[in-house]
Amino acid sequence: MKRIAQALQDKEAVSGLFILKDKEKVKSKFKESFGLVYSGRVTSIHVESDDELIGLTHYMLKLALGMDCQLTDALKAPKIEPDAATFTKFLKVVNSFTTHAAKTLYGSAPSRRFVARVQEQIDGITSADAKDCRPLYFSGNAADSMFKYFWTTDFVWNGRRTCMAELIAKEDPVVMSALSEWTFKHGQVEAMVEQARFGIEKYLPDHAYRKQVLLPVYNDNDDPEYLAVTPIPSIALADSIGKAQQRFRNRHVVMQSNGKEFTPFYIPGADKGNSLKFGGTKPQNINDFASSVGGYFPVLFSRIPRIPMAQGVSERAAKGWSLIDLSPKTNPEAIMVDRHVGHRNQIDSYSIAVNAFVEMSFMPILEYADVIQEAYDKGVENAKSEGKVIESGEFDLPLPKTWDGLKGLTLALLSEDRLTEAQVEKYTKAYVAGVQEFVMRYSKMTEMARSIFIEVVSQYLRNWRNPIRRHYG
Amino acid sequence: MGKFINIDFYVDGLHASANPHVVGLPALTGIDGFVHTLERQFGFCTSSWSIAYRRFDMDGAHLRIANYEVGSNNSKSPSTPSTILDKRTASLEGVLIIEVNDDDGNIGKLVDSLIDGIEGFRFCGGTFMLGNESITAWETVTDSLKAVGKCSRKPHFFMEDMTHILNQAPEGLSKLDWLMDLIARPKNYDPENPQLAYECESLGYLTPVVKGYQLLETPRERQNTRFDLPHAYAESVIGLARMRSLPSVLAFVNQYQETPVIFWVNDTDDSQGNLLWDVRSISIEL
Repeated sequence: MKRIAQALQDKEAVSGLFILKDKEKVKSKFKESFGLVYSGRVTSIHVESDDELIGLTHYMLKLALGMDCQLTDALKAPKIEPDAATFTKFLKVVNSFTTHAAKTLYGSAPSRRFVARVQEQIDGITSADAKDCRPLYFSGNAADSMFKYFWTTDFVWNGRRTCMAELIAKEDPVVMSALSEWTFKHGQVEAMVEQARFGIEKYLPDHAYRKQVLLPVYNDNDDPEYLAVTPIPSIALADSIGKAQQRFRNRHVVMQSNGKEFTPFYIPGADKGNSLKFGGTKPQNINDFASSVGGYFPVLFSRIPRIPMAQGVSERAAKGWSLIDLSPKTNPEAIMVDRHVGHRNQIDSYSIAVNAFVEMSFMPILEYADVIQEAYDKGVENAKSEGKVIESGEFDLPLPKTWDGLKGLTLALLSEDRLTEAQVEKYTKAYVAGVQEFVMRYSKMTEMARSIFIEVVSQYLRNWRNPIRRHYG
Repeated sequence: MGKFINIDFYVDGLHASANPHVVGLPALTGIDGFVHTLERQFGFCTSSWSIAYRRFDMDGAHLRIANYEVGSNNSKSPSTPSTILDKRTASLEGVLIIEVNDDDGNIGKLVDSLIDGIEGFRFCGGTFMLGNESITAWETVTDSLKAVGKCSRKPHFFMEDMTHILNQAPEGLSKLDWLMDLIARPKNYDPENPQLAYECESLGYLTPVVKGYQLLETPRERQNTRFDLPHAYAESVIGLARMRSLPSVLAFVNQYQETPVIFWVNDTDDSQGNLLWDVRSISIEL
């Protein structure tokens, strides 16, 4: 480390330029260590023309000081022979690992770049269509692969081929002394050793496979031969999709009379644009690609058409189940279909929805019929006392007499008993009659009565859906 | 012409972003891979396949039902963390129609073995399960399509290949811009852009879909490949599909005596230099 410090203070030869972000901690530490003078936000450190020193310094900056630094190839990037297993090979990976270069679309990640010539005469969209930004530029699974290469790139240390993960995991005395000299927090070295061991376990040879898919290619005898293929994303294409999305909005935006911008298109699944910004505040939950590009990346959205809603159904009703949307014709049919045709263990989503609807909406009403009626009466009295006009007799809950059918059906569905045809018919008729009566009465209510009813019912639904409150009050 | 097998299925936990540039429906390459897996596992030979979607749901973020527990904020009683999926996965229902070469007349046995063994296979990252209609075999494609229509739960949307119209971009529009126009759905007739609205209406519901891979280099031996096979880096090819409803498909069949291009088969092409492996559409004559 003394050698590094000496080299850093030496300003004879220049081969690399480090640009450091402005951080108080870094400033003070560097001032202590090297006596360097900082001016402004950016400081350049000139080091001796020794790849090993550049990289090791860079590595130590990252690990010991916990800072981000970026290597610019303003002067000269170190050339690495492909076959030479040198320490600089590892250090170059450390450079790219620490730069987080793949987080910007136009960033440079020299180690991860994959340049290819793509053919343009092809049916479909490929990166060849990404003409408005730098083409032929790919970055792999940046976050993952950078971490992998960080630990596993091999180099020569004391005449033996090894990697940094192995050195740290085996607690090589030279590395450990360097680390302990450069780390300031207690436990940081131990954490690094643990991370190195984890890296070895996860990424060293047995687990270091690239992600691949096998493509069958048929020979003359129609026997499949396989190709292993690793699909890699094109950052240029992602960027072009985003720009095309913006151009689309610019082309089709319309100014409304009130001055607001308005795009006269129905966009499936998205409010703005015909593609999505995929990602969020936790891009690691999406995938590594989202993480590597900094959270959001524009994608095209692919889905089946939405089934158009019946006219007159409100938007609110379309989002969830609503009492007034009950179709007396279809729902009992669905229940019967589930009962007689469907497998018990393979209930389809529609039946599940119907069951859930019945279970969650009607059972509590049945269960709390008296309480709801009482609460409703109270609500009506309160409304009257406040001077609001509610006609007498406009709302009379059709509970629970006419809903016996529904109750029977529901209980039968929830239990394992199988209904007879006659029972199903009887219950269904009663159910339909009950629902029809309810809908009729509901439609006759004034707005005030409806709001009171919804409030009362939703209150009991909330209580009912919460098992703790339901059972323990 | 082979015989047709209808597989009524649903898939849970489908990988919704099989491609970094298209999110949503599974890639055609993934479905073709599934069909190829069936070929290998059950020992039959397919000519083509088609898929009809009945339901497709992206699993949304912040699921508050599965693992959510009230009172999880209380540090004294740790509870299961809530599931946050952020639309990584999806669930799917539909019918997969596979055209099988039935030279031996063993299609009955094949259907039986499929019913016994198909559940639990991986379908584009999800778990493949049989639906209520299970698996049925049909002599002709017409019977097969009609059988889809008789499924108890409707509707169905077939994927029809419309990738070729990407090459018909108007002057001044790049292929990507043209794609953006095509997959936008006009809400109302716009007097300022009558042509666009007309075009979109006539072309139906278009959606991007991943249909193949273009190799970026010549396959070669590499270290750290999972199998002892030639390896190459590749990029996905994005195509365009029209969601054709079942009545529309049947009307087309009646009118033209062939199916619209809703059947798919994988093929390779190396005439352009790099190998192109994609899933291409074919039409089946009645």
